[in-house]
Amino acid sequence: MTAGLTVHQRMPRPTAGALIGETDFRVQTTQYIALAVLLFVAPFGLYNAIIGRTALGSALFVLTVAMLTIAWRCRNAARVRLLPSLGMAVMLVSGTVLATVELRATGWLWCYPAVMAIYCIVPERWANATNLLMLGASVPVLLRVTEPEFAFRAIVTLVVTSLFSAILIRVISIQQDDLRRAVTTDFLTGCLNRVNLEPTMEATALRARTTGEPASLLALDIDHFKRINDQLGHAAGDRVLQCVGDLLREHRRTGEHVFRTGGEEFLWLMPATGEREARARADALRMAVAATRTLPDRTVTISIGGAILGDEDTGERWAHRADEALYEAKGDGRDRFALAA
Amino acid sequence: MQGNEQHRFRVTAAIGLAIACTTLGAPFALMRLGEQDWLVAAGGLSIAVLLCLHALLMRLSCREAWWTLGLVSVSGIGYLVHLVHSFGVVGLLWCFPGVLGLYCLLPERIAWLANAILLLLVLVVGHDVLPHDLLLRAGATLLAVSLFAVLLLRAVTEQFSHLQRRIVTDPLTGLLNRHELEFTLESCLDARRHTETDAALLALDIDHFKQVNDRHGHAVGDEVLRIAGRMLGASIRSTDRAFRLGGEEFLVVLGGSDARLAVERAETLRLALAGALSLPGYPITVSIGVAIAVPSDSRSQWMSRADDALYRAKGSGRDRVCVALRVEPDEPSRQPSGAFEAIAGPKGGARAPA
Repeated sequence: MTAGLTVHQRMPRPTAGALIGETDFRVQTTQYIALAVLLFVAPFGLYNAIIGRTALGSALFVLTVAMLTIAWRCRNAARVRLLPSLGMAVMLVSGTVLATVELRATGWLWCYPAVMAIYCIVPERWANATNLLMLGASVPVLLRVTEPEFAFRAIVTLVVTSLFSAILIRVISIQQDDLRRAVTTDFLTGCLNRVNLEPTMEATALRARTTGEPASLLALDIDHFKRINDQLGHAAGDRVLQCVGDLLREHRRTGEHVFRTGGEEFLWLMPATGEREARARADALRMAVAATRTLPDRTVTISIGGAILGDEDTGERWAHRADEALYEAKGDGRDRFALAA
Repeated sequence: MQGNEQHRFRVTAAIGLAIACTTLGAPFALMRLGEQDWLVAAGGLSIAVLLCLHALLMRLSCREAWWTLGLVSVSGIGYLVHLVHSFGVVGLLWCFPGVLGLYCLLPERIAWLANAILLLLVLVVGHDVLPHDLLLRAGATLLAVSLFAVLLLRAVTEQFSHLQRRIVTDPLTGLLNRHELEFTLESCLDARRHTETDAALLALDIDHFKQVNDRHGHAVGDEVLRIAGRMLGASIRSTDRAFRLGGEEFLVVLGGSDARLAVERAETLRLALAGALSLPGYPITVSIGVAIAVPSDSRSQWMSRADDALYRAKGSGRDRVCVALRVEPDEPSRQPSGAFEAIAGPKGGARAPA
């Protein structure tokens, strides 16, 4: 039953909050933006330097070099680094404001690609903040250096462009969260699957050690599940799994996690829960399962093994102890709870 | 699921675009009434109305509203070009949100095309009305905005398909998991009903797998499953799909296979898997149940016939292929247990340990 953990350990460790192997799309877009800056901004910088607008020319040159450096440094990372990217965004804002001061309408046009570039390289919330900064800085400048007819439309079109970019990024984030949830959720029972099992257990163990609170892990198994599947067919087996999954999720409290680790096996991770409480809640669940008429002609029961996090437990050892307690419960006649030594 | 996600995205985008255009764009068009510029005022107003109508239609139905979409895109591009023509750089400003609007509104490829047309027309018209240096920058910045929009959408689409692949794939074996099962079965049954394309279902189970796990440990058990997954994945054709249902249970859907071919392939699979999975001094065998789709089948009827055949194979000694007999169209689908025939049994002494 610890198969889940051994399999999991062969995979690379995930970075915080993300899925294994998942890369923030901004890493990729940052590379593209760097290329675009090289192609679009650098030639204008050179041109400005040649015709004598040294300040603007060198500013654009610095901007190009900085963008290329940021893109090069994050090329293999899982996500962009906040500070350099944020610095870049601020540079883009000041660059466009400077261009507007020097060139008026012609310089202003760079605001639009700059707004989008910011959304491509900076995490969402910071991008929104930087964009507000851009709007705040450019309004007085625009009103000073251009005609009102132009200034009003320039501001409104920039607001619309920012809004579109912000909405686009928001919708994308929502969709990604949905998909991420689908990846970490077991399709049949609605419990979590094994994808984030190991990191979640490690995090729970770490928090328990830091706060000094106990933590419990329950391993659950449906009794004689193979028999149900063989005698009544897969549809009945699936119904039993769904029913147990539903009851488990009903009994779970906020902050606790329930996993379906494979076949008819579940794990219930309880932070801040000691032996007495874990035993009481395991028994409550066990009785609830036995009392529910899952199948018309027979009673479905579960066996539960519990392990309180010990000082020497790794995630794997903890799960292993819960498993052994479960085997003990099975050996003692099933439909019962056993606690690991 | 991907289709639904895409549609939801497009509906949200259409609504956002309609709101932005009505509240922030239309008032500027109406202001042109003061200069008696009826064309710009009426044009701006009708585009806003069209966008709202389009958003409403998208929201209400689950399909693309092509009529309003075509109308609003063409008139939108025309209107923007007219603005550049009439107002020069002031009109040009609207092209930047306009480009983004096209990407919110249109499917990706069509948006590229519409974007290219808009850029070209703006440059041609701008050539007459804009100073040279402004035109150059207008071209560069519009191109940059278009490019960023394309890149953003591209990166995101790629990430979606990456996640999508993860959702439907079983991590241990690399085969499909149950997510796509219903859809696959349903499309096979559809094909069976409408075009008389044969389809067969193989329910496959590794014999005494629990004992492998108990005796050799879970690492070995996982390796056995992985090898089985790799072999199944390699042995199927482009019209077939192989699933791991969980545990040691697999399901192979054979598109376009009649009974004889399906049994032949099941037999080949049984022998190949037994050869590949066996550990030194410890033979591992598989049992397979075969069910051919009939037009009256529902998904669960088809599945349960394959399951029944598999249990039959297990019950008659394992390491064999059993086929569920063809169901006559008028008969009830549930067959008495006598309606199976064992097609192939173990050859030689390849017996699973008791």
